[in-house]
Amino acid sequence: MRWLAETWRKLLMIARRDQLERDLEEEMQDHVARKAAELGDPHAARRALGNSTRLREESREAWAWMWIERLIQDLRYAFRVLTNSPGFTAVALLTVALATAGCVTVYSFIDALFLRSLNVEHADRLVRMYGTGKNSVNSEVSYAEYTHIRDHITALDSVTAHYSTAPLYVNINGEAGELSGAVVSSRYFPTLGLKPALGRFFSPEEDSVPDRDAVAVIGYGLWRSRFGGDPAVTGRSLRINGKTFQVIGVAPEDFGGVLLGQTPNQVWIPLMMVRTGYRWCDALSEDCHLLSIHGRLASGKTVSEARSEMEGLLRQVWNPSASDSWHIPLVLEPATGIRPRDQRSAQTLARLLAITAGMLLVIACANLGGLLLARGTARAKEIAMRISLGASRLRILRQLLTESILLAALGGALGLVLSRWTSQLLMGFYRRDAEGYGRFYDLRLDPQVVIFAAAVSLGAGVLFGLLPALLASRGNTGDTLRSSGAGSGVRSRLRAVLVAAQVALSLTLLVGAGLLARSGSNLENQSSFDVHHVVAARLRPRLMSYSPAKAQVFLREVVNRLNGIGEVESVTFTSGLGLVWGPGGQNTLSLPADLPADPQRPSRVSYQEVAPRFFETLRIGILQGREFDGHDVAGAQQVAVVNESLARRLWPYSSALEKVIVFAKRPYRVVGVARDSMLYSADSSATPMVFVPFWQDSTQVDARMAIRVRGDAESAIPEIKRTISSIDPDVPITELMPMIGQVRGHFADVRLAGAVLLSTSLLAVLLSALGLYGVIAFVAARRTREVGIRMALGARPGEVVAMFLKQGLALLVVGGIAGLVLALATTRMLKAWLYGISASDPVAFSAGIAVLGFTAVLASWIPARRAARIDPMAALRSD
Amino acid sequence: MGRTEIPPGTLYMLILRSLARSGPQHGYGIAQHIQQVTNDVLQVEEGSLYPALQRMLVKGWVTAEWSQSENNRRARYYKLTPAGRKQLSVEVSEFEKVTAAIRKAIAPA
Repeated sequence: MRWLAETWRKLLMIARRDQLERDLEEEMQDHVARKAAELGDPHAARRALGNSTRLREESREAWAWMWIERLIQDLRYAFRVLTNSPGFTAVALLTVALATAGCVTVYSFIDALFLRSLNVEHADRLVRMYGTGKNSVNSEVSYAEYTHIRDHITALDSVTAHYSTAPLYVNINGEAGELSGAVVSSRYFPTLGLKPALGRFFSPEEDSVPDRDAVAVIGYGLWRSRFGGDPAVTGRSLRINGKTFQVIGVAPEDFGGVLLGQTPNQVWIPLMMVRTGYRWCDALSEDCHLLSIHGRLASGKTVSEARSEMEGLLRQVWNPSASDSWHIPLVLEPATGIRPRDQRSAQTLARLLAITAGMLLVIACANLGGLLLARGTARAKEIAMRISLGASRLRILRQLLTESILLAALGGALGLVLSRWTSQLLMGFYRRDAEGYGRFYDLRLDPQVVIFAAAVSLGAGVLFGLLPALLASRGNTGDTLRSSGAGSGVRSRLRAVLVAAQVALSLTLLVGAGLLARSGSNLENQSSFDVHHVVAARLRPRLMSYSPAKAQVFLREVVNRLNGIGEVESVTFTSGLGLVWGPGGQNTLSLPADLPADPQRPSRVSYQEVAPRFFETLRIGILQGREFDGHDVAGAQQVAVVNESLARRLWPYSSALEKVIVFAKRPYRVVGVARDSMLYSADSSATPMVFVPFWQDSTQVDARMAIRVRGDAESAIPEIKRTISSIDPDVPITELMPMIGQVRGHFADVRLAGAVLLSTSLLAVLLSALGLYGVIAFVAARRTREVGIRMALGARPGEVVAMFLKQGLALLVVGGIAGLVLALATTRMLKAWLYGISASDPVAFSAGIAVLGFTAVLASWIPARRAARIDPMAALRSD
Repeated sequence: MGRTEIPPGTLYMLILRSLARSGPQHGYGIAQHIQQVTNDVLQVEEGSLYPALQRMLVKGWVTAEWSQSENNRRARYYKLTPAGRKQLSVEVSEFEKVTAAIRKAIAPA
């Protein structure tokens, strides 16, 4: 405490510096005057006081804070030095800034995806439970399981269930559209500890009888935008999936549901109204596993206690006949970050981004280190001069460190600004996924991120400023002053090592970028299907409670009318998710003739229910037989098309045609063999698939359409929308976009990783080239006199160029070999994103080597050529 | 008459004691006071008072204020703070410990 008060007084004194000086001056004069009056001799009085300059100096020292004074002095000097060599400063600043921006962007990405808690009261006590079933849909808990947990668990104070990913088709005052909504139990808002901005939340009464209480809480944003912020909004109504709901309250402004990263929820309805929100299975029945659970830990209870208690409760009620997904071990964890299911895939991406940013940081540090070493060399004379004039080595060291810290701080600040832009670039990849929804990762600049940026940039500055500074303040000053100022060999060897390291990392990044670029282009242009000129659309009559019969009449009419548009070449549709890139559903498959090893567990296979012209529209090759046509309808013989993987597996030695498979416990005759169309990455293999006719399933209601047009897909969309709406304007049309957009959205991670790697690797190559250039230019300058002698003795310019080029090439080869080894060891990490190529794709590797080789040769050739151009006489006379 | 330089490190103590005894004083007054009470045995280099007073200001032992002096001149008066009073007793007891030890060491056997 004492030192704090003292520091405060010192700060005050620094602020009142001039006043203190005047006070001291005046009181010393006063002293002399009194003394003179006493002695009668002004001279004697002045002598008695002593050396007034020294006294003033000593007093000043008492007021001032010497280290602050020196720091300011150092900073002023450093600033002058930096502005004196703008080229060096610009390159160094940019290097630090880019590395910082990269690291900050990745850090805020990781922060937003994995570390962020919900913005609710005591978020640290909030836990969530998710099922671990294999299917992405319907693998959570059933209503019965939820109520059992809710009524018996003691480790949680408050339990709520929700189904949050439902896009609801909402009609407000005649204006219809899709909104993200959630079906929630009445404990949902109280568990989160939220207070309504207006009105109220659901009462337990409204969450007790199925389908009775059509009430809704709306989001703050929706209230402002669609209800004009009406203070009397409670009591007004809106239609959700065709049913009228009454608004009872408005959620707090910053609340958008419990799923971070997803489209924010705008509407909430009671759990008992779930049949309006979700129609694939009856959410209140035993075999529909839809609900996710959030809860608040009871005081004194831990997450693992809650987990084991919940597992025990689930074991009591689990009904194996009603569920093919088993929750245990279940995921019960603090409600932090995006859903566990989404975390798994995001982790791979986050890891790659972190490694890439780390490599960029290392390259930047190496570059900065090289630059500072070079400057240390150039300033060796200046420093030797200052040391011999009496500056202490510590003082010199501090001066040089101040310079690099100033660089780092300025670069870091610039990087922080730059990171806002790079974050936006990153988020650009999440604007639209395969189903047309965006991701909402909030890459904001919170204090943690700023501290992280400061740590990264200052760490780099100190670490890589220290070594050159140590080298610079060391050594014999006399030798340095007498020598030609070329500097020590340690420095140039160190620089060579740094450059070789940069070359190695650049090559690794380049190869990775090349692999992902090839993979990305394979995704859009490959031979197994073609989605250029295809429009996708999802029709969801189920949301409007269409019966299957009514829906199928509707779908036939849609196909007829669309075929009537001149632009349209062919129309088809399927039942499942992910038309061509994902397996639709899964069901059992066996052969009637053979006896499977275990008849109780027939193998499962992916399947897709497809309409006629599916293979034609998507340009998927039919290798044998035919695809479905208008005759393959309910009542006709059940037929199937299998893909080549399945055909090979089931009938390796004969044709699949006319064979019979037992699919979903029913016999189908194989009428065609299609090419494998589903894309698979280097760490997986082709998926065996069965295609069955859509029209042979009389229970189908919804459809995902694929419409091939003659011209541009985007421009055909309005006409397609008009045509479908003219049949029934109420049927929701979603995911209406060029199908290539769906492919891009589905593989956003590949494109994102590719873009990040590409930009990072180009940056890395540029930095390495700068480093290499610097080393060769430096060596050339040092050997100017030798070059002069050689040329005077008859060496041709070409020989001189070759002499320096060789040095550059030596670095290239050493760094390149290290980079190749590193690349071979690390590109395996990318396997999950490599489509149509292997992790050791020779094209990507040779492209990387070529780019790097060309740049490196250029970077060494330019300074080598300059060295060879000098006039021998001038060279000999130099120094 | 030859005067003795004050022992090193005792300047603070002398200033503090002087302020404690005579109340707020200006620099010249402090110098006078020290010489008077020690019967001119101890000589304070008058100028060195001022850097010492500045350091004491920083440490918070004294505060300084301008006011009218006896003969209607402006003078800067230094005043002891509670912290300064405490410091005085610390310095005095330290000093006594040291002098006692020295006395013991040089006492004839």
